[in-house]
Amino acid sequence: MNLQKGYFGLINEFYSQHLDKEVILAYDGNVTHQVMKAFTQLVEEKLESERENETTIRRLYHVMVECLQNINRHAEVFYSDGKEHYPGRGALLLSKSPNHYRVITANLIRQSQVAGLKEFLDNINHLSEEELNERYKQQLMEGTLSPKGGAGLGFIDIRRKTENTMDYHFVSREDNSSFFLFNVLITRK
Amino acid sequence: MVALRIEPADDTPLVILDKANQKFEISGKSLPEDVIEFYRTVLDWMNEYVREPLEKTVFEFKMIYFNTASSKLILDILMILEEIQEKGKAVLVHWKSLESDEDMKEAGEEYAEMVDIPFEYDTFSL
Repeated sequence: MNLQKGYFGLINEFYSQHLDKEVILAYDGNVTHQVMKAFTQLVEEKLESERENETTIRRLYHVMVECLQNINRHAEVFYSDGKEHYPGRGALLLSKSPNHYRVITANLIRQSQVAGLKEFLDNINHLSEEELNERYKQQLMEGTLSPKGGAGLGFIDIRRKTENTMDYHFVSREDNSSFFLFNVLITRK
Repeated sequence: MVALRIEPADDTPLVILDKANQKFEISGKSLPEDVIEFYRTVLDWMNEYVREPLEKTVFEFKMIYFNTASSKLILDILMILEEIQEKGKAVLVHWKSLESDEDMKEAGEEYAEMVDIPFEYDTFSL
């Protein structure tokens, strides 16, 4: 992948392998709390007006909240190519097909975090429904909130609510950072 | 004990903690920008209430949405209610969800498995 294209170029190139019928939302920029609220409300209202299934709307809303809060909390600041990549910057693409909605996100993390995140996501992907529920409860009981407000529950719950495995890719850059591309489908009920 | 009332916003729930009127309620949406800060007030009030709780505390949850960070704090509230029960006072959780929201009902059932206090389930409409 050509890294000169930036966050959205990367998502776009990735998305070109997974074309859906309609793109609902595409964004590249700082993912603040206000941005998260605006996008989730926008999507909720649009889907309600289209009389989408209520469970599907709730689940998509939840996936968007968790994904955007992840970026808001975890996207790191890097200086490269003479440019500053702001913390909290990320890209989002939401698309729709007859059978699903797709959420793709991209943000920068440190290369040193890649192995741990990959192991975590792989592990969750392979759990059965029952194991996922147990893992969620265990994390809820034993986990602690990070100072940024992360509970370590987001990906586990995304996996539970979407009933689909999470697809992800890491693209290393030269400055010890890595793009984290996350791709998940929400099945339409 | 002074009642606590927090008016709802688009990302925070309505909170009513009122010992004199025997009303304990959290309802609406919970996805605060600073989840720890928002719930600190609530948990502080509850920790004070534990010292001299009513003979029976009926706590009502009427959630439309909460994010995973909030789910941790909701468990903290339930664990304080469990503490009250351990002191020999009665506790009941009224877990209400929108009729169409099966996921929210299941979230309540999961909590009920995590704490040793009685739950009653009901629906509400907007």
